[in-house]
Amino acid sequence: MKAAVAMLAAVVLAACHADPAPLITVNDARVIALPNSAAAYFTLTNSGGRDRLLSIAAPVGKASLHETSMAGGIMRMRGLTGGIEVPAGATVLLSPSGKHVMIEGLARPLAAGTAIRLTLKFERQGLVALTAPVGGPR
Amino acid sequence: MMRKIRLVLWSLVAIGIAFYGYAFIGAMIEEKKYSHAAEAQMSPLGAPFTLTGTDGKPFASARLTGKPFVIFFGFTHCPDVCPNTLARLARLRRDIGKGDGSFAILFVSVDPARDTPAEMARYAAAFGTPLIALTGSQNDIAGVKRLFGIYSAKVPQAGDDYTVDHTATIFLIDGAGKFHATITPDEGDTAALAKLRRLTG
Repeated sequence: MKAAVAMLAAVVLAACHADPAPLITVNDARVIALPNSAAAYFTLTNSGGRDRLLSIAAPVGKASLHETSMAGGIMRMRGLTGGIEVPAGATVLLSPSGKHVMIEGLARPLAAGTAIRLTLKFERQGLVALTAPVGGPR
Repeated sequence: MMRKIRLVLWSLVAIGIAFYGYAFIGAMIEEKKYSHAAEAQMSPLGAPFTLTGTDGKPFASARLTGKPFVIFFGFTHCPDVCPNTLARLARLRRDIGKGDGSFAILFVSVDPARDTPAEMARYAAAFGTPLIALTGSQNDIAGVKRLFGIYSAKVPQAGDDYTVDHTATIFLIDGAGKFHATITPDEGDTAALAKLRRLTG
């Protein structure tokens, strides 16, 4: 019994120290399409260890991570060149007026009612592909 | 050692004096600029203006006389705040339930270099609700920005791309063309609806 407890403790300790692997799921993905650009939003739920969303790719255009900030009534949008931190056990929202994906250089406008493919690249978890429904600005 | 510390402290004092001196002169210059601007145009917020409509023809705000409007500044390469704000205004207009004619929604470009009338037309059409999308020459846009106290600044992005920082406040103008209220970006729908209801009588 004692040995079992000690072993369990050792396993738990080892798990803590080993920096557990991330386990990220992408939910509620949606794309708001405009004639010459689009924004993608989603929720990252991480039930594992820390990770970082490095970049995003969309076959329909040039996708990049951005963040909108508001200060004194002024809207600013900046590229998140360092990616987006996804801490262990955290939920990270990409949402309107916050962090988001900007898609530019569309070969042709995205049609509402269709869906596009997005590939998220994480530092540790690697590539995560998903399909996001396209809607108009509503 | 003491001498070194004394030297550092005196340097800090000198830097401090220099900084305050600079800030003081800066404030004086700023004030002077401001008073000049005030002399140059004493026009009230929301005074009449003329820009270019999506058909490429002049659009005079006088055309809206008798009808309240809201005005928001942005640009078509803005995928987040601009479309969300315009979509929100359209939704609030539906919520009020007095029809699309209850107030006009004006969208003015702060990026006239890229936002041609045709570009503005395509953008406005994406919202599925009547929008008055306006652009103009750099001069015309600068004039209207001054009328509403709008700030905007081009910010380079990767490559030859750029984004535009800009004021995201919505201005409400009544049927007589007079300033009525603002809706700031952090205001919730309840407050915004109350203001729009008041605007539309």
